[in-house]
Amino acid sequence: MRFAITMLSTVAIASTIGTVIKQSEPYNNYLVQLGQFWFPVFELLDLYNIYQAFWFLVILLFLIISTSLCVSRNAPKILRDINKFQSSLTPSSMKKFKNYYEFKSQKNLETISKIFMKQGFQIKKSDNPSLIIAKKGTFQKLGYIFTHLAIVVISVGGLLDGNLLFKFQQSLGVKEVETRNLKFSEVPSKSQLNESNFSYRATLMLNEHEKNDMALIRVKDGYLVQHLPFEIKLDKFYIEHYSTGQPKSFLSDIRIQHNGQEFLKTISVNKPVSIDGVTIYQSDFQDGGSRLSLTLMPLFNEFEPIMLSSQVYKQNEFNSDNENYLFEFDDFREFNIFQVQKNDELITKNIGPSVVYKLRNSSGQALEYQTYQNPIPENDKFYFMSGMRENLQSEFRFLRIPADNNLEISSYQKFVKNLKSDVLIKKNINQLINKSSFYNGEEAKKSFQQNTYDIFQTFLQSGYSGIASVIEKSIPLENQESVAESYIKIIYFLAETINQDLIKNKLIDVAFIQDALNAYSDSFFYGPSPFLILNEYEKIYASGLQLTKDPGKVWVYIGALFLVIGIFCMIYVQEVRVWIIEKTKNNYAIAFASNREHIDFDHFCENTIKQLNIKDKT
Amino acid sequence: MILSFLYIASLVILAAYSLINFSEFMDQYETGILILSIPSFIWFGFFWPSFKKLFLTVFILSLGAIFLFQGDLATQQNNFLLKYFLSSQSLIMWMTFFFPLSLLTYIYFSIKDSMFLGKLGTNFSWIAITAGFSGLMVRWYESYLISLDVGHIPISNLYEVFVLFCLITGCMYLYYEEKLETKKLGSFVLIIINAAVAFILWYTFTKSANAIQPLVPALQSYWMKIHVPSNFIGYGAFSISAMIALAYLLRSSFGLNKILPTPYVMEDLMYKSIAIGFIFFTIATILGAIWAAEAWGGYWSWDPKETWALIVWLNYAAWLHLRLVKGLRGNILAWWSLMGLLITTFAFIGVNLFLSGLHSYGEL
Repeated sequence: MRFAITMLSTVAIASTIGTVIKQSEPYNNYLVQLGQFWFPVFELLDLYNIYQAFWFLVILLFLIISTSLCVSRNAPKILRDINKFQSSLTPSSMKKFKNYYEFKSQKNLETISKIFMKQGFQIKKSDNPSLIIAKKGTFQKLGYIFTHLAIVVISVGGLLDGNLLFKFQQSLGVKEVETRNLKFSEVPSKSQLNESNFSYRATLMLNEHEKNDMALIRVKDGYLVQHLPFEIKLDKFYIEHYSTGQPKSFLSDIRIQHNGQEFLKTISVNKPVSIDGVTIYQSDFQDGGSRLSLTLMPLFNEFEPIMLSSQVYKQNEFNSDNENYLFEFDDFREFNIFQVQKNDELITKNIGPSVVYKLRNSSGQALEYQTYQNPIPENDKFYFMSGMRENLQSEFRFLRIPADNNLEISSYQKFVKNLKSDVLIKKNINQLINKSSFYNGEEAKKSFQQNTYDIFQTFLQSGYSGIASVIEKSIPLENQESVAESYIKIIYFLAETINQDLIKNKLIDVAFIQDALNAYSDSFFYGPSPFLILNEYEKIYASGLQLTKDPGKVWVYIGALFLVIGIFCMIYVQEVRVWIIEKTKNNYAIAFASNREHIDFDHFCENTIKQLNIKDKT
Repeated sequence: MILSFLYIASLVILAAYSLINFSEFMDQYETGILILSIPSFIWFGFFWPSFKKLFLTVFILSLGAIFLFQGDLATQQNNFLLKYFLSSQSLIMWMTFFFPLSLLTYIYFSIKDSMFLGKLGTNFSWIAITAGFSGLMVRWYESYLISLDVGHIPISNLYEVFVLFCLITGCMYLYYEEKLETKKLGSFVLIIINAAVAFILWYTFTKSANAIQPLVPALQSYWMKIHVPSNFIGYGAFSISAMIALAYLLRSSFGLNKILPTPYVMEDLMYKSIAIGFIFFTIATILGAIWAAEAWGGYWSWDPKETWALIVWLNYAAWLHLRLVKGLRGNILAWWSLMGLLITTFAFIGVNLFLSGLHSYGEL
């Protein structure tokens, strides 16, 4: 008993630890979190896979054994007790009971025992003709057997579905975990499990139109290959959406070849399919190598836009500023659900596809980008968005390029082209000076012309931050703010006049200029990547399937049923023992006893006495 | 008598109406459940007569709301009754108004010891519960007004289950109060309900959690309809026992003898609520395992929520074992049940806050 409780407490504590330390992560994550010293200590205790740890299973095994022993020792006695009646009592010993009553009644002993029988009591006549013994609710004792048996049955079921067999084979050196990154066909037979393996939980990632008859079982920091009794081909993976854009269901159309027969099935979350004892679940999905047709748009008009065809998980070379870069396309998402601001209200909306990629330089450092295909609404305006981050831990910083009135990016391209045109800049500065009557001296005109040109060039070469550093260097502190203001005005004014053609053609509004200047200035913080325009795509999915064989499940469910029955018996079946003795004619004494004497029991006794026509009560 | 008649009549009419009009949307299980629910509800109505009143009021209020909506969600902006009383959001806000009022009245009643105040406290709780249940019913209907495929039972996120928690805990307490005349425990049990009410208010006003969201694919299952309520009967019952334990401990150490029921009654009540909670919690965990086997591909994955459910289960199994088998009584069990609330609360909400896993439907 004490042993079992110690074991149970250990299980509880170990389980708690297992919820605090995230289980079954890649081992590198633990190494980063815990450091060189603690990582091996935790590993030794199997804290990364606590529920599969050897010592944890041993404790469970001990629990099963000790509970089984407990049941087998007590069950015969309990079963005997259920059939047996309590022994008879003498009137004096009855008086010691808490629920002891004396009463007068015209009813004879026969009638009284009938009243008790109606209430579900079993009656036994003793040797003493004036004494009846009654009992009820003996099934309460069955509760003990059921609950304890339940624990055994559930644990056995659980162990059946654990990987004890593999652990055993591993300890003999027959099998071992593979940790290298290999194709299924290259995995040595020591790390392969054949079809006859009686329980497993394996995963399989299939691209659309791909097939396989093997799956992967993750074990600690490695894996095993499980042969399946059939071959699965993924015809199609698709996502259904609610009208708000959120996903409604994830579905896979699969084709199963089993013993020369072909089955066409559709599985989805909450709707698995079972074949030959193996259940196939929809558990995951990712990109399966979508085809992308892109345009690389230079942010500073340094080259003509380049067309690029690629695929997710593919790499493409890219040269810029005499540096070699590598595009690595990691993911393509067809749907992105965003909370979008609309009329001061947040609404959920699908804003369309995005592509995630890394741009790696020749020394191996990479920046990560996420670019959205469609312009994203923000109040009344639309922006083409692309985020950049230096590492996976930081947040994306977004470059927001304003869309023109046709919701296209081409006006921004034109805008940058115009800004970069020296001819246009000079022409517009001259017009500016000729129009104003303020500068009358030739000298003043020239210096203003030069100044304006320099300011604008600074902006073109390094954005607002360049302007800020020029001001910090050359202007006394008290004038900095007013100078900055006039510089910004000059830049804005020039940019507007330079782009008059766009405004005249109604391609852009005046408000566009400010956003475009901001975008241009932010481009200096965007890294070496050009802006990616996604022209066309063909989405290809990969569906993550889980394949489960769990013969222990039925035992766990049977055990669970036992558990409910057992708890119900223990708590809600009231066990009652009654002795009634006719002391003299029509004078009775009655004693009630129970192993659960609480308020309900007291009420029961009182009500029973009322029924028996109580005359007086001690 | 009239009440019983109305109760049974409305049950039968409701079921018949659903069978005739919505049979195309139901499979044979659902039809079976619907038919069996008539005798079950009738039984429950006689087991706890006050439930009949609750049912009928909720029935009328929900019907009224449905009638006023006229099949268009936008109606609630213009219709006075809907806007301030019968839309789900206002009904739930009325619940959050009457529960604190009930607590204050119960406290005042404990001090003044006037029967009138005691009755008032009970009635305020009844109003809160009626409003809350009607709110959930109307919310259920509103979810279908958003779109037929969005429609679902309102027990799918943290906001909705907190409302459910308040209602179930309130109902269980009122049942015991009626049966064992323990009005003076009201001021204790209502504390935990009002903690949940405070959370609902915070969650509504800072995170707009009251918006109805469509179900994620993993939650689209019939199991949700039984798994979640059974779990909350468990949580509710455990919370009640913890609050009674608090009262019990305060009584013995501060001599609040006049204010509180006898230790014998309180111990019994503590046991009763843990027992009923334990049964439902066991069933809920088993249902959860069956559901997990269908949705996640394994009946037990040692997911943090599952693991904490096991810890909660072991905790109360030990409590019951000590009381029933070892015959233990008194302060130790009271302390244990009070501490049990910490474990339960962590399993209920702490896991969602601090640990990540499969069961992350109610993230803050």
